[in-house]
Amino acid sequence: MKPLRVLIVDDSAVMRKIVERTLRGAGVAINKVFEAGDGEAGLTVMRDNSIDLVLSDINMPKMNGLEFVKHLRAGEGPKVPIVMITTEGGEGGVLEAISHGANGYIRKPFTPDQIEAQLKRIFEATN
Amino acid sequence: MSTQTISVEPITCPQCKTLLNPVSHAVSHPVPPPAAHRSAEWIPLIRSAVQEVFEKMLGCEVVDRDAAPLEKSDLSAMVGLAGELVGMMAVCCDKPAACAVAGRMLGEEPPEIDDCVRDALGEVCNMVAGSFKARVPGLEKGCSLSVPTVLTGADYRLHSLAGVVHFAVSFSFDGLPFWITLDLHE
Repeated sequence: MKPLRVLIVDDSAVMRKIVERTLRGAGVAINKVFEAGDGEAGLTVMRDNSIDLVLSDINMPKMNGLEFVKHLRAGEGPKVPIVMITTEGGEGGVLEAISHGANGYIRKPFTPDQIEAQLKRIFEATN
Repeated sequence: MSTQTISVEPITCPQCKTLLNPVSHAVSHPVPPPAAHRSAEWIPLIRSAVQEVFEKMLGCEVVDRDAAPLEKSDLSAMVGLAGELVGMMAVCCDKPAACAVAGRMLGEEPPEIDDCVRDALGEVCNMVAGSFKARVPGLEKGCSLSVPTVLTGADYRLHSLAGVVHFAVSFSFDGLPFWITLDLHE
């Protein structure tokens, strides 16, 4: 697999750093990491750049992760894999995000193994 | 006419262990039981949630402490709960512990309380609240979390209002104490 251009959307700068570090720790080949603090900023990054993978929080100010997914899937262009990273479990917001087109979710706190397994599943399903 | 004697066994509430009038029990103890009666059930869940967050995200173990609740702390990160459980969970600690939390999450420890330290403590609180919620049967779907809020400075005290049950659980990591508090509306 070619090195990925990854967008991480989370209102916590600390969490964005941890997600990036965990991705690298899981052995994911990364070309470049883009960061956004909310859904609106995430959409701007998506408009201006070619992205291979999106990891997004749900509970964010301004535009939350659910709205972000809705806008992203409503747009034209390639269906980039979207993974929700959230403290919420398998109910409520996560299921809503998946119904709007997210490909999967990872619950915080997470380990590199959990991220690796989820990404492997998603890329196998989308390719 | 013969008489029949019926013996009535005393009924003890499974939550508070007090003797109950079986007729009024259903009225005075609606289901689910009051939060105060669930401390024995919930405190182990808080401990498990804290252990999971610190092991996975900070790469360290926490030690349970029996210390009295902290009355003042340099930082308090809070997350609100709404829905079937209404209240607030908080992580309270002094500056050294807060900076060490950020250091473990970022790989470099800030010397002073800054945005990174506040952000890190808020995320820890958020994850502990989420992990706790996931461990309470039936709560996963019926309870929402707010975005974290962080208070800084030692010159404040948090006061619980009437009708609020307060739990406080103390831990340490790397020898640094911190507290998790949970305030729930009855």
